[in-house]
Parts: sequence; structure tokens; C-alpha cells
Amino acid sequence: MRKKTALQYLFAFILLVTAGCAGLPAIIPPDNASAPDEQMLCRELAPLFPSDAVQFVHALELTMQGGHSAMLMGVVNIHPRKQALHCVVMTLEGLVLFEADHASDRFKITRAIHPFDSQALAQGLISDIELIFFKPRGVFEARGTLENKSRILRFSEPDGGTLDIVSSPDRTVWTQTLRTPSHRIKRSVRYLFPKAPVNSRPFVFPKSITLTAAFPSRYTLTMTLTDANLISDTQPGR
Amino acid sequence: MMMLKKTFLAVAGTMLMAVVFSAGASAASMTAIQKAAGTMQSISADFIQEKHMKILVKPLISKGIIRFQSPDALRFEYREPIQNILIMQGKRVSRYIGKDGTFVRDNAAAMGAMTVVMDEISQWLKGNFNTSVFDAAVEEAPAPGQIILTPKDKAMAHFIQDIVLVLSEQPGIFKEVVIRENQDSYTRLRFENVQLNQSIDPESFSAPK
Repeated sequence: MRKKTALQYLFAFILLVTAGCAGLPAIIPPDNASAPDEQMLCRELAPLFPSDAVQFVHALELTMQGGHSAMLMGVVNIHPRKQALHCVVMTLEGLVLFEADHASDRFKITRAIHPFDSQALAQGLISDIELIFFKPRGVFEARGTLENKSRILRFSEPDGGTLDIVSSPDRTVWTQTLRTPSHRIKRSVRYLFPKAPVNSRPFVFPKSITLTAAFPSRYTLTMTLTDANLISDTQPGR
Repeated sequence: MMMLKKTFLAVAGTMLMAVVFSAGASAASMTAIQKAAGTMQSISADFIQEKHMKILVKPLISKGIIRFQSPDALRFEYREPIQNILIMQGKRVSRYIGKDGTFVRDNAAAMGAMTVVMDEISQWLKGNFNTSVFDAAVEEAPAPGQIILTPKDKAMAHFIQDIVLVLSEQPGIFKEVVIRENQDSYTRLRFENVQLNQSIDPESFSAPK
């Protein structure tokens, strides 16, 4: 009887482990399998994560669980070298609902109107913006291609989770997938770049970005770029 | 949520009110403005909205149109950079979001505030500007004058300092409308092609096609 129970537990354990592994896409390593150095990683990720300070203006569509949605405007100043950002969310009429300043040593909310007056929501919003605009902080783990020929970089997160960054062969569609240690998808971000030749402009930013949050709250944030300008890096938050 | 409704009311309502006031506000007196507003039947105008904030590299510009037919039909439409239409007929309010060349109805939008907006507008059309939401005061200087709207609710005043309607030298036209949130953030509205008491196609108040 005891042996039967042990076997049942073992079977359940194997099932759980295999089910978890099934969520992590297999990487086909390149012929030259040497680990990329920091510079190579920066070059590879340059289209996604600018190294200069930039002000982005986006039209935002926030869709919550149950289909509730809201159209808003968003302004975000990113300072990648300082890992700092300043974020503003406003109504179409220009009324500021949320404004916050974030850096490694500070998190200051200067304005928050319901539903943005929740500290948890505000911190979640800032984390999502960091995920979208800043290079991964995790450790590089693997690179290669997927079955569909897309290029992939995999990073391990400090919590044991993984972050996959995948670019389509024509480099116009990029995705980031953040998974928990059990490989459950927590966040996915899809970047859509314009098809115009990259060399025709000094900077090319994604024309739209869609973030899908799976848990603890389910929501989708679609950001359509309306303007982007390089800004001074001397005063993060301004 | 109530605060959000009130603040939405303040901004959206003011845009309408600004055009209502333009009915004939050439003199800086509340009596003249009330008299002009009392004759209002319909409004049609284009608007340009500039959002100014200290952190912005340049102001955010939005453009759109307003159509209003007394007593309670309204179309409030942003055309750039986001396509978004708010249509109200009586107590029925609908919002439509522009997506991929078509308009999708947003069933979930909280529209309670707009019924309050319409109640406010009906008050203004009767020449009653000191409503439950704002205190209105006329200032003669700088010439030719301006109207200052101050929120009555202290909680709302925390988010909107005041609204300034600056009269123009040209009779019947406002120079500008400024919604001040604080010293670092304000919204300026300019109206163009204002037409008063002209017939408006009833289709303007139907769902967009």
C-alpha cells in the first residue's frame, strides 16, 4: 500500500516537472556556441533597449479583466544608464492621473488619482515599464534559434524564473516572455517595429508595444507610439 | 471613482462650456454672458488641445470636434493622435474607440459623469454658471477680461486649481481656455470654426460608421 502511494507521488512529481518543462521553448544553439560578451549582448538588444535617455509619448489602451477598458495618454522619460524613469499617465483631456519618479534609490509618487492611488498598482506599473524599456538584469543563460528560425536570448532571473527575448527573422517583431521558476508565464511583451529600412533614420523605436500581464492581475496594455525625443541625461526624472 | 468622475466632468464640461460662453461674451460682465448663453441652441466647433507639463519636451497636441444640440445631444470627438468619440443623447452615453480604421464600442466605460455634465450644461444654457461644481467670477483685468472657475469641492481643488476663460477682443470669441492643475501642469484649449445655432446633421449623434 505504502509502495503504491509512493509511486503515485512519484508519478505526480514527474508529471508536474514535465508539465513545467513543456512551458520553456527549446533553444537550438548556434554552430559557434561561445557565450556572448556584454558588448555583443548590448548590440543584439540595442533595437529594443535604447542606451540614450528618451522621452516617449504613447496612446495607451488598458484592458482589464472582464473587458473593461480605458484610453489614456502616457509619457515616460527613460534614463537607461541610471536605470531611472519618470512616468505620467493622463486622460485624453489632459488630466494627470498618475505621475511617479523612479530610480534605484528612490520611488516617489507625485500624483495619484483613483485607480492609480494604490501603492501595489503603482509599483506594478513601474516594474512593467522597466521590463519594457530596460535591459534584463538577470544573468545571460543561452542563445540560439527557435524551431521557427526566430532568434532567442534567455536570461535567468534572480527569483529563479526566466526571461526569453525573441526576434523574428526580419527583426520587425520582438517579444519578451517573463516566466516564474515553474515556467508559468507572468508577463509577455510584444514590440512591433516599422518595416521601413532601419538605416533611413538614426533611431527606430517600436511603433506599438503590447504588454500582457497574466497574474496576479490580468490586464493588457497596448502602447501606440505618437512621439519620441532624445532628452538630457543629466536630470533623471525631469 | 467619484473623484475621477468629477475631474472628468470638470475638464470635458469646461470644453463645452467654453464654446457655450462664446455665444456672445464680448463684454466682461456675467449679465452679458448669461444673456448670450440663454439663446444657445446648437454649437459646432473644432478644437486644438495643448497639454503643457514641465517634463514634456514639447506640448502634447490633440485635435478634435465638438457638436452640441440643445437640450441634450452631444458629440465629443478626438481625431488626433487618438481617435475616440463620446456620443450622448438624453441619458444614453456611448464611447467609441478607433481601431484599425473602424470604431469599436467601449461597453465598459464609466459614463456616470456625463449625465452630470449634461445637467451642468442645461444649467449654463439657462444662464446659471454658479453651479454645484464651480464658482464663477468675472475679472475685468487684463482687458477685455476673463472668467475664473474655481472648484467648490476641496478634494477636486486638490487636482484642478482653476479654469480660466480668457475673453477675446473680438466679440463672441474666447481667446483661450486654460485648465490649471498646478504651476507645472496645465491644458490650453483653442477653438476654431465656431458656429452657433446652425443646423447639425442628426447623424452626428449616431454611432460612428
